[in-house]
Amino acid sequence: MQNDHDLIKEYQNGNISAYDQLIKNHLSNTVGFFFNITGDRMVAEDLAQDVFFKLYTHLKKFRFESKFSTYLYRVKLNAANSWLKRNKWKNILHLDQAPDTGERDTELEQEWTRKELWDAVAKLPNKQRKVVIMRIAKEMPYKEISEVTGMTEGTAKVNFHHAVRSLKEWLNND
Amino acid sequence: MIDFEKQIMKAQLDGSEPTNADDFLAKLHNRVSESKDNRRTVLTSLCMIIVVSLMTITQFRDKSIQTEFLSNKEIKNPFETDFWNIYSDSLEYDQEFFNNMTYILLDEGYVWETIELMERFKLSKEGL
Repeated sequence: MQNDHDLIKEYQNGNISAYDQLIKNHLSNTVGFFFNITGDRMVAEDLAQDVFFKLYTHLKKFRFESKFSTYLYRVKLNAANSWLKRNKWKNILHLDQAPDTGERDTELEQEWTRKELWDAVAKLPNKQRKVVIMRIAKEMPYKEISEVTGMTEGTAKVNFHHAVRSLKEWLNND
Repeated sequence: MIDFEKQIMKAQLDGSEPTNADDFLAKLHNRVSESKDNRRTVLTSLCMIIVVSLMTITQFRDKSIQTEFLSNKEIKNPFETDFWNIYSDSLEYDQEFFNNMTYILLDEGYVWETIELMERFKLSKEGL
């Protein structure tokens, strides 16, 4: 199986099927990432479409300075971040009247649902939100988070700590 | 705090349900081709607007087709019945009168009268 960089090179040389193969390699991972955040497979697939649509044009200028997976995470993170912000405004304006399908995890005896968790994540400051998305949705190690976001590992840890404290406060008070 | 962290870390959903890659790719390629079509339409429209604008601008600068040149400023009276329009060069009228008169006199056989008329005309031309 060809690695990502080989496929991108082929795609840059005009081979569209190489791009298709690249998508197939990362599709389930990408949809799964968005599914964890949105809780809706359709929305997750739409977001994945947005990501790969953006990559369709941007990959032609890919300079092979970083791993493709890191680059892809960056795009996914931005897409997730935008979706959370959009969703926050929808919730504020009560545009989204769909019933909350989040199920309470009785095993953990938690008082909040997944939706409440992600609504709370949407309220976090930008840097904290990015770190939390990557930690919760992908359980990504701090080293990789620092590669994707460009912040140091220490900064990522501090941001996550502050974010968790805020989330705890918001979710337990609701 | 650590318990809460564990709780949120376990809030992951099982996203293992496979996505149909072929459907996904078909949708993506449709979207890409739609986007290309839209871009082509926008570019064509822009080109048309630029060409029309350029043509308009260049015509504005062309003095030969300015509106004031399109109108005929010299209004000519087709009938020339006004007093100041009447063509009245007396010398030419006199000449015409003389010619007609000469033909008539010669036609009638008044040769000497004709010669006298010619003499008088000559004198009147000289302003005497």
